[in-house]
Amino acid sequence: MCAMKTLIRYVLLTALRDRLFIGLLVAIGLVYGLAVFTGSTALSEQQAMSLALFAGGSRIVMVIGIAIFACFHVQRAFDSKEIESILAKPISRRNFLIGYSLGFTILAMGMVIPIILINMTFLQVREHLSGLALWSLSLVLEVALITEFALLAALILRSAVSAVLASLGFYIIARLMGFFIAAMVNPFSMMGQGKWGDILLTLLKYISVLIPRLDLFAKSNWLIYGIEHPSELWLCLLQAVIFILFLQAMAVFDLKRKQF
Amino acid sequence: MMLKKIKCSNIWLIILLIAQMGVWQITKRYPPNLGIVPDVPSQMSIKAFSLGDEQFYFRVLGYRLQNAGDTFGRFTALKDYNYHQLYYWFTLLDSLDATSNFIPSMASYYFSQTQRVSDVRYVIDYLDQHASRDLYHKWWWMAQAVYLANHKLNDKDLALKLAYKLAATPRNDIPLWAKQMPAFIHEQRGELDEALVIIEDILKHSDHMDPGELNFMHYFIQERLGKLKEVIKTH
Repeated sequence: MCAMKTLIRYVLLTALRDRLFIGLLVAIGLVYGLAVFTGSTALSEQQAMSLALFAGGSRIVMVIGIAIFACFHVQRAFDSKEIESILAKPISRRNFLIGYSLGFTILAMGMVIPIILINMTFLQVREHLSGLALWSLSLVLEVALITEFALLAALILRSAVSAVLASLGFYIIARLMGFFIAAMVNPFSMMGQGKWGDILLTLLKYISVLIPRLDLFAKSNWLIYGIEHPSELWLCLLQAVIFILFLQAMAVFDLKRKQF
Repeated sequence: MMLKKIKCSNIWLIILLIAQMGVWQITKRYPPNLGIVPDVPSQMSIKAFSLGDEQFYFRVLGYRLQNAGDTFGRFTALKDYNYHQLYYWFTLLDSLDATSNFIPSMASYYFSQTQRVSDVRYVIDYLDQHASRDLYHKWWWMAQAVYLANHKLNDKDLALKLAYKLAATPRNDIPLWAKQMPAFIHEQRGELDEALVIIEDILKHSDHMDPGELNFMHYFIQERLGKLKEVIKTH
């Protein structure tokens, strides 16, 4: 437990050392400025425009920022033999990975706080506080899930650039899952009839089993109109917990077989 | 030897710089096609490109449509816009968010001001379609459609058809003029009897009426329809 705490502290310290907090805060500030400027020039619903643009923009900044940090952090830890040094201590490889994941999740939670504050104070999301709560929670889960994938990709691929590209690819596919499911429900309208349509449909079916539906997470709609279906919270939680544990198990499986 | 090498690389640098400038002289003749109203994407593609956050993409596309034709220092007259394409944009964006009033307000307060009056029909068709989906909350846009059909397009038949839709709004807390709208259009068409029937019907079915509204209806029947005596007889 003590070793895990140290590991979490180590992740947070490296984030501080890499100026991740400042970098993300500046990026979020820029997104806010751009969203407010754009919103103020809209013909109507200026606040809703700013809110939606800030919500979408800050989500993209968070996901890309923390995924890039995770990939480069792991690669540098491998290159500088920091990982070997940590694993030489009395800590199991499983606990090592859990510590890392918790560190990244705490990082994501910490970075969501300024976004929530901006939403509440400057963009005045007071009418739909439950929507803001669900949006913020699902954003943390989404970032935690992507970071977990980035960690796994960095462990397997070893190249930080490849890991970043794989993570972003995974993120886009996971965000497209809702669209893919719509294509599966009504295959002929989207893929046409014929051999290729059937092949694509089968391929999508297999992909959809293995990839979570991130399109159900962090919807800007919740901030503007509130939550329509409270069950969406459980869907997000369930998916995130199961998939994070699944990725964690894969990472442990991979790390246990690694020779240092 | 070293000096010769540096000189050689300098010469190459200058040659390539001149070549680049030469290429620029050719490429600058091909300005990007800015267009006015962007091509309308398919419903499937916008669902895919929204990446699950339809509200975010709705606002991005809505903002793009608002500024279409007026980017990069250009100002385009509304008569030069392709309203057929705009109509498809409006309906497409409604598929991302039909609750928002951003698109109907843009259509009725901005795009309806076109100098080519015949194009207003596209705006009216869209407003009719948008409001008909949820008349309870969107009656205001039906009222705008009636106004545009009546005063801009001068199509009294269309205005009357829409006015009847507006009057059928399933709520009692909308202003009385919305319920009276078909009577006003009938009056303009010279169909005074029909107008009277509508006003009579409102009088019959309204429990609590503001004295101001009663005065207006009295004025409307007496002065504009000249039918007050007839009404008094029947009541």
